[in-house]
Amino acid sequence: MWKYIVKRLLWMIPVLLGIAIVIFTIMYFCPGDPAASILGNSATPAAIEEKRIEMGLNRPYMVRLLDYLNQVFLHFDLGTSYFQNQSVMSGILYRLPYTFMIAIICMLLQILIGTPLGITAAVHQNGIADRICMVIALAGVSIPGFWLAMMLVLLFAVRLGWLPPYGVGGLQYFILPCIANAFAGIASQARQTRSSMLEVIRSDYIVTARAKGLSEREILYKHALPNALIPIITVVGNGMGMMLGGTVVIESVFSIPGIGMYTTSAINNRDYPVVMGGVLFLGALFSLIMLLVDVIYAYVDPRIKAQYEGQQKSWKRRKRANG
Amino acid sequence: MGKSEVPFIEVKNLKVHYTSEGRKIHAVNQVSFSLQKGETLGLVGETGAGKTTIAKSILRILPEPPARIEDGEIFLEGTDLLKLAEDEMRKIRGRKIAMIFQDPMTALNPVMRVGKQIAEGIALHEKVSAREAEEKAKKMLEMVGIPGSRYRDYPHQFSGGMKQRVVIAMALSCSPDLLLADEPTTALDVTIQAQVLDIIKNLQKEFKTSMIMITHDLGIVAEVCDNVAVIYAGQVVEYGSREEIFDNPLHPYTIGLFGSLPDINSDVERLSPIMGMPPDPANLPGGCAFSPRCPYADETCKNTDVKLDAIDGTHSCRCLHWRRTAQMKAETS
Amino acid sequence: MKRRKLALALAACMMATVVFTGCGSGAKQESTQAAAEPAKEELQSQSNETMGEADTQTAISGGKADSVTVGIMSDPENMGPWSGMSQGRIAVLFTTYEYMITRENGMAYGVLAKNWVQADPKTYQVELYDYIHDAKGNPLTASDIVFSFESAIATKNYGKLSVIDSVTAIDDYNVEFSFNKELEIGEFENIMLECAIVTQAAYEASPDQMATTPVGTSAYLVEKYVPGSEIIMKDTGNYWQTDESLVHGTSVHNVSEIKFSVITEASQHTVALQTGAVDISNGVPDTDISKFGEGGEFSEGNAVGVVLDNLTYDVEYNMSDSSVFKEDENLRFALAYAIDKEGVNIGAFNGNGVTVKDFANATYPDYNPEWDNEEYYDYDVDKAKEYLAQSAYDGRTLRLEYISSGMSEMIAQLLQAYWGQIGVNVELIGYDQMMGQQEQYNADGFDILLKSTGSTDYIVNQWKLCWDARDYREITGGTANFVVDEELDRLMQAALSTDTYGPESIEAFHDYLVEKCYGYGVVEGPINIVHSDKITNVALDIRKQILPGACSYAQ
Repeated sequence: MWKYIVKRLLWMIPVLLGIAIVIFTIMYFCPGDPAASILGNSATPAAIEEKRIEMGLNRPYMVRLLDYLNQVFLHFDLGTSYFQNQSVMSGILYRLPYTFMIAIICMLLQILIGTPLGITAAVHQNGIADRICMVIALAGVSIPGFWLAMMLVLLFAVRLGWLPPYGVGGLQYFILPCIANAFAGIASQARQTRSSMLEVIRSDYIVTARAKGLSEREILYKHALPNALIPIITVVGNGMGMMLGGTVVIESVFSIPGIGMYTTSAINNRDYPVVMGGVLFLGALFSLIMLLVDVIYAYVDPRIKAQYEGQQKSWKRRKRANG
Repeated sequence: MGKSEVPFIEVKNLKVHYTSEGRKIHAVNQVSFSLQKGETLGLVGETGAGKTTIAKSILRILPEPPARIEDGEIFLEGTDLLKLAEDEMRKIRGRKIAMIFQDPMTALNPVMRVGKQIAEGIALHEKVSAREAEEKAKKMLEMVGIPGSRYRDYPHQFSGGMKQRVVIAMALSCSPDLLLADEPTTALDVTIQAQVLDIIKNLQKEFKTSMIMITHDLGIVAEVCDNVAVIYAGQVVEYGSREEIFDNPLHPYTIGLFGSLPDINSDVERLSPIMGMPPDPANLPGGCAFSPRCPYADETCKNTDVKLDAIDGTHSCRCLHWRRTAQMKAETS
Repeated sequence: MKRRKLALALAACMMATVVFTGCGSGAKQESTQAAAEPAKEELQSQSNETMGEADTQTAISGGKADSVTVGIMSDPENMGPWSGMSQGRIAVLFTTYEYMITRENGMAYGVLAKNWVQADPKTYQVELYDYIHDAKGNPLTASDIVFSFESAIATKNYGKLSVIDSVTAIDDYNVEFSFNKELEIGEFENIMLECAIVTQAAYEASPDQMATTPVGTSAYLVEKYVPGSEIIMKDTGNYWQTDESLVHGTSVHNVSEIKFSVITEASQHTVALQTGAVDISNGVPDTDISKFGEGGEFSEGNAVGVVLDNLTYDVEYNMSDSSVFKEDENLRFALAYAIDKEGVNIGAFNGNGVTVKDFANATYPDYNPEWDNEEYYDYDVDKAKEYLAQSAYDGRTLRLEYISSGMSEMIAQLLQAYWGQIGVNVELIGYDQMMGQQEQYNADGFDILLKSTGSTDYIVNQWKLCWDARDYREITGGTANFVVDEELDRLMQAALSTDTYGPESIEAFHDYLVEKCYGYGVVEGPINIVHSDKITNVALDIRKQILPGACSYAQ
């Protein structure tokens, strides 16, 4: 198992390298000039040109690319923002806790509410519980996050005055953003759990379990759920990755200085280092989460664990066979 | 049908239907039979005849929304299983009645260790500690020819035949009084079939378990069963002891079954299967269900609701013209 | 079968609704975002305006308050004295720093500079007050001025400072500026307003070049900065200018504590004002303004101040060689007469803006009021059609390019409609800020440009932003919109040169431009500032940003 993990970690390096090259190239060819952005609307072309030279933006593509790759991969320096006087890494680290808080809370809500909802729906298929669950799921998928966020603000902040409408501070500032953000996640979690469970509940080994005389509850939690977990975990992993990337809409509505806003407004400003740094950071984070998810798979389903280990074993076998 | 003693298990007028896309599928139509303790009954018939449904009805593990037990009684040592509350039924499942399933590849939980799956049943039904359940499970594994050291392995680490043996070990772990074996060897290759069958036979002898063997393989019937019930379109069309059925099949369907067996000794270019297809259970023909395919059928067959007719001993047949068939056979032999 | 068809039909309906509402909410998002980020243009505008009945002078002696909360649209990110422009930064700039001078009602007043004199055409000498100190108490001398200017020039963020040859300290309180060319009208003042002043001591003591801990010479010091969320500034109580009569608009400090609240979502500004979380904001979306005005649901305790923005929405024709407009004067006139400027004002601003009679607008001190009585392509559909008939227009679709922020999109659509009325097909091309800045110099990319431009001081300087070929020749061969016209150049330079600047040269340029119709102004828009009754007079800086310290407060 360790060998598998190490192998995956090593694989991350070429992946990140690829991401860096792609995002650099995209930003390079992207129209728009950071120098013009810094200087403002009424700057003359001459002034803009001088600024470009000062920023090193006029050097050829390969030179800039190699310079950047060298900087990131050999010196572990993500660069400095063109606008803020701050390294990209510290900018990200400052904002990461906010995004992280939201992501974790939403993830917990998603798992704790979505999964039981889906299980209930699957067990009482076509019954009342199932219908309610599916309506909630439909609502979660259809309701735009922006709209829901504003509705929550109007209700809880303006009309009732119970919660702050925007900003950061104590835990109460996270309540509305997390609810707005988690809604869609809960819905998709419920749906995935339901369909996964439905598939599993029809399996032969469930009939076997019933024939043994186990109670429905035991069958559900000891036989059905563990088998239904794989797709469920995938959804959780994906969701976590996306949320850490930053949910721009929520951050924008609630004025939360998270990574989503950071990277997105950097795109608008053509703040290249921040955009590239943000994407790379997200890429690395996502890779790690995917690795974590894959490792969890191995513990949930022994066949997958055997697969991971078998890959080495068969390699060893072949090596021995070939002498 | 049975002897004068109180039968160990008695199925009376069992009627089961499935509802699918608004259509009613009559899977089991008034099936009755009984079994003495220690006996083996073979349920023979084509796929889709309703044999598995009968077995699952006894255990009441039919998927309830599409399936419904419309009518009938199933007496186990005098208690009607169909009238029991669910938690009472649970005490019987795995304990008094156990089932072996057709497809060993999917019958085991892939993410649970094999030994645990066996021990689970033991711990549930017998008041033993976890350690003792584990010991007992290991013993069961040994009994089916699997080393106890493989207790902690997962199902995917076993071959098909070994998986089926695990299923057997699981079923017999609590020494059930009745074993329902649903085509236990169908999914295995021929060489393994014999092994598994032997294990079943030996265990049955050891634990004195009654068995209902569901199969479409007459060879197995010959080897294992005391009595035979031939099922067609959800009905028992012929019933008798093994000798009665094998020596003197009188229902055209039963004859057809024997007839479509390849004979090692004769040089036949083609097998002679029974013409036609089994009827659509949602749309059963009136009268004798077999009449569309029966080479001896006439108008009366299509219109009359045929009942089981006693022939002699335990032998009975659901055919209007069984006498004529018997005569035909006497003439040709 | 029937059920399946029904299911398919329902699915199709559902998808259609999702697509349309998705588009809707996306567009809504876009437009709120657009309203939320009026271009990061330096909102170059005239003087320090205040609203309400009281005029500027009484703002200084108006009521004081303990604290005020201002809603701003984005985080300053970098509050250093010489960092790049951003929307968030200009919102706090004048509260944090002071400059050598300030502008009020078209007049320049010294702030740090006591007085200044032009020693020769290329040299100025400035005398400082001798008791200036920054918010941390460091005394400020001429060497700090030199330090500030040299540092600003080194960043290359300020094109205007490139005319400076050298800045030298003559003695502790006198500085000499020498330039590499003769300055034009208003240029010296603009240069004085370009560079924020700090003491070298404070700057070097700062760990991050004052990005998060700025120390200027104003009365306020940043006490707390939560990046992305809020900035709290406190009156040090130690403001260096103790002579009240010398404290001008931008330096007034009527409130003890200022809290800038970063609210990135436009509709949240409305919420903030409703709940009282914020006292004043310039970020309330146009659609919500009426709620706070007379008869609106939140008019209780609130008020809306409306002032004319100093940006003019201008039409500039592409005058490059390959363009349809280069030789075709009739087409240029045709389009000009087809626009109902008042209609645009009503359509875009509900009539709260004004139509203009020049490429710039009437708020400049050197605007000639007589132009109000003259014709300026006054709306005349028949005349437009006549010109069109005489032109070489062949029915092709013309491309109107604009930067899609603020009201530009709306105005572009109105122009498209008006031109459509006389039979000219126009296609709209909207770009974001960054793309727009680049594309405006692409001669093949557009036929007509809609821009909003403005200046802080004189009308000639707004004209300069488009018509001074010296600034654009390298890229376009002529003016910003590719005009090659020696007479235009001559007149422009005449209007800018300190020798010839005056009503005559201004008149000459205005008339020539009207005659040639290379471009013209359409409307000037309003700015809406919503505030609670706590504030009795709103004070704005030259970029139309709120000056919390300079506002007057209810007693």
